[in-house]
Amino acid sequence: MIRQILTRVGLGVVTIWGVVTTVFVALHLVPGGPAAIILQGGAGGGGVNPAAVAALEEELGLDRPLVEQYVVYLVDLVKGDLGNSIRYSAPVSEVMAAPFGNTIVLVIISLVIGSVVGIAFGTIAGNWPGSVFDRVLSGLLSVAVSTPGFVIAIFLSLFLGITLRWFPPLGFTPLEDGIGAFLWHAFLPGLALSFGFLAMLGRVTRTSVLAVRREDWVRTARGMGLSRPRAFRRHIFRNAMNPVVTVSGLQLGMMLGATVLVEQVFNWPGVGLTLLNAINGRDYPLVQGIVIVFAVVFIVSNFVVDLLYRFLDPRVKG
Amino acid sequence: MVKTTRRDPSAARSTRSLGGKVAVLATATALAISLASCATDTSSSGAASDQTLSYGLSAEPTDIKTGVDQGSAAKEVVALVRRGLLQYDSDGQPAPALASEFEVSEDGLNYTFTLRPELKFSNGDSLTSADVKRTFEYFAEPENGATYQSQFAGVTKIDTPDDSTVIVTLDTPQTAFPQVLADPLSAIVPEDPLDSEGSPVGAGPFMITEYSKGVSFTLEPNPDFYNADKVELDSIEMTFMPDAQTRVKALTSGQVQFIDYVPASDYQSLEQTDGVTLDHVPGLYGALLLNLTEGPLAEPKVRQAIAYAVDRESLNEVGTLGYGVPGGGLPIPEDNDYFDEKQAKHFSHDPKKAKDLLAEAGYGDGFSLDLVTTSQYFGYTERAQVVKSDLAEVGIDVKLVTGDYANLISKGDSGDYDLLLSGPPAAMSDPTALTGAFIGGPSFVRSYGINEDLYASLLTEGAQTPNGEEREKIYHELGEIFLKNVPFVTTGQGTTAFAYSDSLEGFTTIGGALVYSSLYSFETVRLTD
Repeated sequence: MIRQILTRVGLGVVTIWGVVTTVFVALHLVPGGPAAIILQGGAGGGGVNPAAVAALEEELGLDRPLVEQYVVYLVDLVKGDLGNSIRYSAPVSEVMAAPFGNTIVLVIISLVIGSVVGIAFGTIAGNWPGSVFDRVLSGLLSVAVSTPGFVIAIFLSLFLGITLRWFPPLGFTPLEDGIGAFLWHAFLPGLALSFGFLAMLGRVTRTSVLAVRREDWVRTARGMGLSRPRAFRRHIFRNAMNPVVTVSGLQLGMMLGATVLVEQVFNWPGVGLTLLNAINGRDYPLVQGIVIVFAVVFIVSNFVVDLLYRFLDPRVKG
Repeated sequence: MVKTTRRDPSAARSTRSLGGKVAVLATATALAISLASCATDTSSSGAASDQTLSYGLSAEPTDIKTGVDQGSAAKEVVALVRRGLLQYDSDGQPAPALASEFEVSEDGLNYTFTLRPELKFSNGDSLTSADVKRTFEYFAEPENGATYQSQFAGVTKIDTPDDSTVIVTLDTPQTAFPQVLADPLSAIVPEDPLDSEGSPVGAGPFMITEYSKGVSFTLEPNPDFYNADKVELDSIEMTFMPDAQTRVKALTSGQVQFIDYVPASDYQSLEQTDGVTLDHVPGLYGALLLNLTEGPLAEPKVRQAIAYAVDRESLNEVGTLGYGVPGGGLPIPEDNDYFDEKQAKHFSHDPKKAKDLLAEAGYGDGFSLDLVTTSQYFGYTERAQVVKSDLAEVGIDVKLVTGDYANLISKGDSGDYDLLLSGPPAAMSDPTALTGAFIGGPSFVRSYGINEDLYASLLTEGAQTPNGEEREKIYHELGEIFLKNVPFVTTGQGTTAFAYSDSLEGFTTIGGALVYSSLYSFETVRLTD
């Protein structure tokens, strides 16, 4: 077990190094550097003479050879230093903190909504296959799974925000101004983010429940006179949850990707919006910092899924 | 409610002659007139008890560089928190600001400014003639990237006989020097132009009291502003909203009361929204820049052919939904004294003529070009499609290369393009601003490989000649050379707009290149019930 964990950690480190290197190379290959953008990148702006761009590049240390920049970055990274954001002239860890907090709130909201609703829908549909319930819910889940997140976000913002005025159509209030107002603003983007997850979870749950119901041991238990609800609780539900846990873990990564567009629709200052602006501004250290955190979340959530799986299904032997 | 600000181009503008006698921009009178002319079209009702204005800003202006044109959002903020010796009044004319008056010598070489008494920056430091001198010297250094670097490089001497007097000596006359000083970019800054949080410090009517990275600025009145008692707003909550649809939605749903950089695609819905005013004015010029270094585009006849092949009416319909003004001459706004209608109409949409010219140049069989555009802002890709189909009609095969705005800037700066959709730079309404479209080395705002020598002497002469007939002749001649050589293909003026709640009183939109100087009027705006 210990050896396994060490192997996983080692693999994780190699993965992160690979991600860092890929992002570093890709970002520097894309035309456009931060100095030129800081000086002339605003829409409606003018040109600036090359001397000014060169002076700023020198000030930012961007005139040094790329290999040198890469090595310096890696050495700092090993020391736990993510460097300074070019745009904000502040440590990346500091710049990222607030947006990550804001995004985690959305992710938590959408995980709660998604798991409760998704598992409920999937269980009902899977327990009564072919019924009206099943057909309606499966139809809804198909629509939800095939609609892009930002379309749902725009729809929710217009319908629940502007037409019905139940929630703010966009915007953000800081936590300091009260948790109520903060969550009230966070609800719609959180809901928009939950749809993909909810739909995926619902479909997996349905399939899984259907499959487990047909297992021999469930039939045996029912044959031995176990009541339907008890059979469901003791045998079907717990076993049906295995693939659901796996999918949840994998979906977490997908959800981080979806935040980029959802946050743009609601102008929610989370990590997705920060990443988008950092890419447009070629803020290399900030993009790399965010991507590293994304990678860590991916790796850790996968690892946790594996551990949970072993716990849930004793047949899995490492 | 709609308010369209558009001047009658035929209306003669008063042109101030510097020759003959000393021109004095009178102080109190001018200020009184400029304040009085802040015409409001809402019937004056009572001031609202809550004077907090919420503002949706089109970008997060980080890392403000003094004197550099970093785009509209940054300029708006600078116009609120900083002040220069002069500013623009609601008619787009230079008016007193930190300087209560100035005098120009007969030869146009010496400007004597008298500063208002006891000026202070928002950080409490005194603002004296020494700060003016230091700021102007900073602008003159090329590596500081100031937009008006060449104008300030023409300053040979700055004398500060006392704390409130600045005497600026130029090497040659600059007709538009007052306009240069009235631009928000020429504002006077303290020794440390940014505070510890990275927010700009200045001597404007407001100051940034809170900066939440990636989220918002909070601005409050600057108690040390020289006109502090005229400022009506108690605070401005400025939220960064880079997405245009988000800004429009925020305004229509009442989340904010003021938005900038409204895309033309939303004009119609805003015009139909109750309680909202849309101010749209002809904006900056659009142009197709050309890489003139080699191949077919090095041939003037091929460039003329492209100018005839492009359908400016369609471009205007697609790029500005018809709110702009098509034009193919020099990039001079149509309400400007130096606008030449005949030249603007010279390049009619004439595919046949374009084909003939291509044949004459030896390119009758056509050729291929790359057109660099961006999908980050409305109007670029849309216009690129029109150019592509117009040029296909005359046998030129265009391949679209799209990316974000940073990609366009980079390719434009390095000449990595055949055609590029951009706009010539324009920071003031004086034709001196034309210089930036021709002169200044490689940049995404100028055609790559442009023959600067061809235009330099006329541009210099125009910048030095006082307003009047002689100056008109110079720019007419420049226009003729432009039509013959087609260093870039102008397509016409775009459109710019602010939109705001009807409860905002006293805001005036200035058109053309000065649109972001409109924010000067926040000095006196107020919210009504």
